[in-house]
Amino acid sequence: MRISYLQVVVWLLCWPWLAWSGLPETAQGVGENGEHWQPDPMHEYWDPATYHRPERERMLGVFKEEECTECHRGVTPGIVKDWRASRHAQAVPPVGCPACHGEDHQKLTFPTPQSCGNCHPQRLAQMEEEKKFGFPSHALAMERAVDSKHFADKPKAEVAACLQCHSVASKCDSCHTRHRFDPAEARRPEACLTCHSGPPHPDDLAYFSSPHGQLYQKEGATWDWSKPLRKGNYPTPTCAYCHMKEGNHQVADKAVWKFGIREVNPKTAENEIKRKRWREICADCHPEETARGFFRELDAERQSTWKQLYGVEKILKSLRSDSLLSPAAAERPPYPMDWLARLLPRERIGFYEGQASAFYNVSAIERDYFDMWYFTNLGAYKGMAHGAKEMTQHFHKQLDDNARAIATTAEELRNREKTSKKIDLKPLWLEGEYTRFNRDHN
Amino acid sequence: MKRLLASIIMGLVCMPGCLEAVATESEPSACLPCHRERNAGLVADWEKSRHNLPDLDCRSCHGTKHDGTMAAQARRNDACTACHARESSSYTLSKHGVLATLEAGRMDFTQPLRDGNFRAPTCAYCHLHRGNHNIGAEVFPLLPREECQISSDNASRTEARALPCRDCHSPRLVETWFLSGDRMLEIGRMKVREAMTVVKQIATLDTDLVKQAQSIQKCMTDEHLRNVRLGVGHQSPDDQWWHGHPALDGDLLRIKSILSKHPVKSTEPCRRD
Repeated sequence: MRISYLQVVVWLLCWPWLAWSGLPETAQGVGENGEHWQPDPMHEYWDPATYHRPERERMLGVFKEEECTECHRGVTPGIVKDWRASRHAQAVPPVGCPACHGEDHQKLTFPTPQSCGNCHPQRLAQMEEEKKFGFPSHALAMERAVDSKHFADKPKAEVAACLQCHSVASKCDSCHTRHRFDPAEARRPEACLTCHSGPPHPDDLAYFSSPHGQLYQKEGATWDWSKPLRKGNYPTPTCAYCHMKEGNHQVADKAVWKFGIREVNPKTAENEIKRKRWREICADCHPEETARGFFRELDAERQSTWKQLYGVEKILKSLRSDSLLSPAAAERPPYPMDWLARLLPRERIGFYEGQASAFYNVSAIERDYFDMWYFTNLGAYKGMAHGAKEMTQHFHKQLDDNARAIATTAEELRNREKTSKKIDLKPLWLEGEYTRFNRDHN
Repeated sequence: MKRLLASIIMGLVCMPGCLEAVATESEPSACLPCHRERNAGLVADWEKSRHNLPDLDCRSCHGTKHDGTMAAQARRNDACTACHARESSSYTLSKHGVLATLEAGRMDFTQPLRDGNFRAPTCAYCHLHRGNHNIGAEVFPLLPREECQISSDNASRTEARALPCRDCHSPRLVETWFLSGDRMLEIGRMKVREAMTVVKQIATLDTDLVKQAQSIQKCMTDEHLRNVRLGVGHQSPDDQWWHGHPALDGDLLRIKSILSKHPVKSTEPCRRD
């Protein structure tokens, strides 16, 4: 193999890439509670627009695309191979490294939705439009994460994983992985599942156990995924077919029951419009009446589940009224940014009181309800919404078990109070290696 | 000339028999004598690896068909998943795992495990990077359960584990990633150590309750902390978070509740949440 002069020079220039500077130590959090926390260095990669600082490398110079790939062919060969197989590389002229990262190696940037939007304005506009529908939303996901109380309170290395998924708001490569950025890949359900899995959103389990998902698993690998998400192109819908029809990057305009963590009225005028949009999608394959029946069943399931959840919340609230929750809010570490809770400590029960952050530093019975509300309830919701009957039944059985266990525990707590005398719980709940670390590190 | 001709004829007659002998060879020790000569380093690496176990031999990963596909077969994830089911589920949900699933039909497994030759890293790409058969040398060992303290020799593994990542990711990202992951794991260990202290206090009070607390503590180390470790290793957010940290939080507060004389119901022996 002949090695050109240019190659040698570029290689020599490439060597000292090991020197870099990360996030400055004074980097500050953002959002509602931003003044109370400092980011983990990893945040730079999950929210580059806010935290990325160009590398102060010894690698100097301004480079053209061919020079970048020539050097990186040796340094990071995988991404060069990936890019070469992408549509960006095949475009004339190619959309090369400098187009997204800049030319100056001292001032390299990470692409953001805004920078991708320079060439894909329609997709960016769709994503931006999503913001008007509120949560849950891809476009607002980062804001949702960093504004939550538990995110602000916990050590940032502990909650780094939150931002990996919530970075869907700050980068496009959550779904269009770098450096291939292949739309066909993002059409497959697996593209969603790294984030849409796990106890509060078992969308993977729900979809794959539904008749739609079963067919996909049987045949999906042989379908032509280069086709747009349009009627007649696919034998069964995938996540993106329903939630991003025709490639619409605005995924929130049909959300009625939303995340599933609070009750909604599905009959509002706004929700009726959303339902109509849903039925239009179902109508690609099903008669309208079938779709109507399906949504009626979903609403009935949700309403009966909420009745059950409210019943359990009532038990907890009555324990709170009788000062039987132990440790009480005043005996637990407060959230550092919550001055009101310091003055008037109060246990958080239900969505509107901040249930979403009540999964640590709470009493066992409160955590049991958190599990019921956040995991079991959402398992039932996701199963029902995706037409996974067995999964829905499984979670409904679990909801019954959870409700029974919490009622029994509550009864024991009441009886216990009559016999045992109050003990000082503060040392146990306010001290301990992690508890102290959590208090000192936001 | 006659001699040469005779040996060619002899060779042609014998060859199918020889190939057959190799192809159907099923004695576990049969691979080693030959490959010790052909790939001395590789066999030596395997012998010092964690895979050098009584129940495992070359065929466990490479199969028994000596037809030139043995290397490619062992590079596929299927070679690992039968034994490593839990690890595999954490990997499958990671972005790497998703790509490996979607690209499985298009990836050329005859290529060596290096230089970003695959669209996504497979199990073997990282754990047998560049064909290094000392499998697991780069993986942090499981923690000594009694103390839940990190062992001091882990720094030496950092370089080895970063190597495959750097085929695609910048060294700066890889280092930031690993340091952040180390911190996340250490926070998990802190929760376990805090729970251990509480369990010791319970032990002085009540023998029945201590059993319940110990079984919860076992869930913390054997399930939830393990999930954080797998999540960090495989970059799987679900295991780092939902199956990891909030699950540890739940069990820590349940152990504290036991000491607080709060009734603790456990419907499952180890909650998978």
